[in-house]
Amino acid sequence: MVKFSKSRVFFLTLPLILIFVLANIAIGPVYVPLIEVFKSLIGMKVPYTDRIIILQLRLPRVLLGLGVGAALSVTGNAFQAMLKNPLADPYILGVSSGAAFGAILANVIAQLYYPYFVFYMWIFAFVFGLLATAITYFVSRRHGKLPPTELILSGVIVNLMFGAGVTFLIVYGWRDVQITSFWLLGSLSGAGWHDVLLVGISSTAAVIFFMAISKYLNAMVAGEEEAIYLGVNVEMMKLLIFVIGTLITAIAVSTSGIIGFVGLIIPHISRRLFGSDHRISTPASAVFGGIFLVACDTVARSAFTPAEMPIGTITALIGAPIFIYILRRRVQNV
Amino acid sequence: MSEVLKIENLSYVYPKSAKKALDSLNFSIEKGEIIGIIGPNGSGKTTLIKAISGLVEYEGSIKLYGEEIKSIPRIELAKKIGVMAQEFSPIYDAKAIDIVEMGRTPYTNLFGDLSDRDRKYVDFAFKALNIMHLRERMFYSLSGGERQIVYAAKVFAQSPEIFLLDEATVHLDIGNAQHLLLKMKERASEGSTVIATFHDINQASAFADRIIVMKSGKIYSMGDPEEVITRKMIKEVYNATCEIVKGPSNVVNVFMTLDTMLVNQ
Repeated sequence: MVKFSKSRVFFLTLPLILIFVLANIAIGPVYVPLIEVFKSLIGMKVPYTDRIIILQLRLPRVLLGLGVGAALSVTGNAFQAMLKNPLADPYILGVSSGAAFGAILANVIAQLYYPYFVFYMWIFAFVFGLLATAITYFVSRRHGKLPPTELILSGVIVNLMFGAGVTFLIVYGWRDVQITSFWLLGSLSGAGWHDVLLVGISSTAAVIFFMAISKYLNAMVAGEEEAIYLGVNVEMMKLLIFVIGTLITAIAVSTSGIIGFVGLIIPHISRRLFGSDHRISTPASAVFGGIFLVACDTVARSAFTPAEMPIGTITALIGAPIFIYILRRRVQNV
Repeated sequence: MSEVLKIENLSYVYPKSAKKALDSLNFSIEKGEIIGIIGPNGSGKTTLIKAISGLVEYEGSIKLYGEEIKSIPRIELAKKIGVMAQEFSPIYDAKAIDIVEMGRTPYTNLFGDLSDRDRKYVDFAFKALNIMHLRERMFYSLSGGERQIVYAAKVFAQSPEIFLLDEATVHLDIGNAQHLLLKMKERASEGSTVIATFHDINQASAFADRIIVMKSGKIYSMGDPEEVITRKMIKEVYNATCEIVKGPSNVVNVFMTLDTMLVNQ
């Protein structure tokens, strides 16, 4: 019997990306036939309205979804190994809400005082994302460990705190509460090509970085002391993972708001399918994170037309039960 | 024999504590020696293992082949010293082969790919511990004893020159403990140095060439098991009363007594 290695099976799943991308572009309030989508993407002539819908509205959106999904998932995968906690992800730790607060703060300053501050949006997102992570980390730390319950409680508090800050800033800056749903529940609707470029570069760099430190992540799943015994510079590694994970989350959040649970559930699914070796679970998380977000976005913008459901609502509806499932299981069996 | 480890004036104070966990320790260890460290809870056994493995910021000196441990890069230290603790509990389940391959972390390239040489060490570890049949089993489907033996295989695959065992047999039944300690003796006969802490004085007595008895962070006594393990030492270090009998192969065995007449003597 031919025995396929996990990495070979993983490569066989890659065409799924194309299927979900094509489906996402075709499906929406206006249906575009798949053949038109395909022709347009390979540069053939298609009707003008279809071309506008495909290349200017849906293609950047679907590419942003792939990038954001990959960024959140690989970060969650690395955070879970680093913190030896299967519930750690950028959303639960409060990184996303801290980053959203920072991004909006830059926007408000740009709106009311200094317009050029809008260019600093992702830097503000990064700084406040780091601040939020640090608060969650130090509040939940008990005797050098991060017990799951304490981590969740601290994350809830940090999320509430920065979530309230987001609402305050939006009402203060725009005297309008509608925009809050974009930030607090996420959306890919604002996707532009500059967002795609920024998220594309940062997500690709992050996937390469996390793959390059796979063997260290593998060593860290048995705890910091075991990793040290295997020659890992744990403090340096933790710093790098925190900073890079927060940076790519900040960039993702500043383009698409807070999209919860992706970084929690996708690494679990990837590990279930391909095992816990980070050499495979990292690229698998990137691919499935992208596909998952694209699929959720397809539902979010086409199932309830003419209204668009915030994408974070869809990810939460799927993610929350899985979160409960993981929480109920014994940690080491996850 | 050549000197592997030389410890001079080794002290350690835990942060936010005035009490010395290790207090001016001095001793050296020769290549191929088996050292058993015994002492009551809180006597500093684990802290000593952590200090030798470079895990804590100590005062004084620990020299490995004449080089201060603190100045040896972490990755190089991992090639020389392998540590086995009481238990190994990775957050995710994995096959036994994946766990044992983890032992090659200090030797693999950036992406963690195993070379043929790495695979030979992994195979050797499985064969040496007689656990080839567990290779494809999931770690958490194994019994506690099997897990600890797989963990030992991980440390074997690391191919260190010095094995540090921190109460590695504490959760094992007599069969598994014997299996592990015999395998460690084999490694020592082939030139490895083994330093192991024990709660079970009889295990230490049967296993070690030399015993170090610790009390309140200091070395109470050091020497051959039959010299060191005495009723007086048990009374003064453990505050316990016991009978001491020589067993097979002249191994000193300690028998705890619960006879109140004897205890109050």
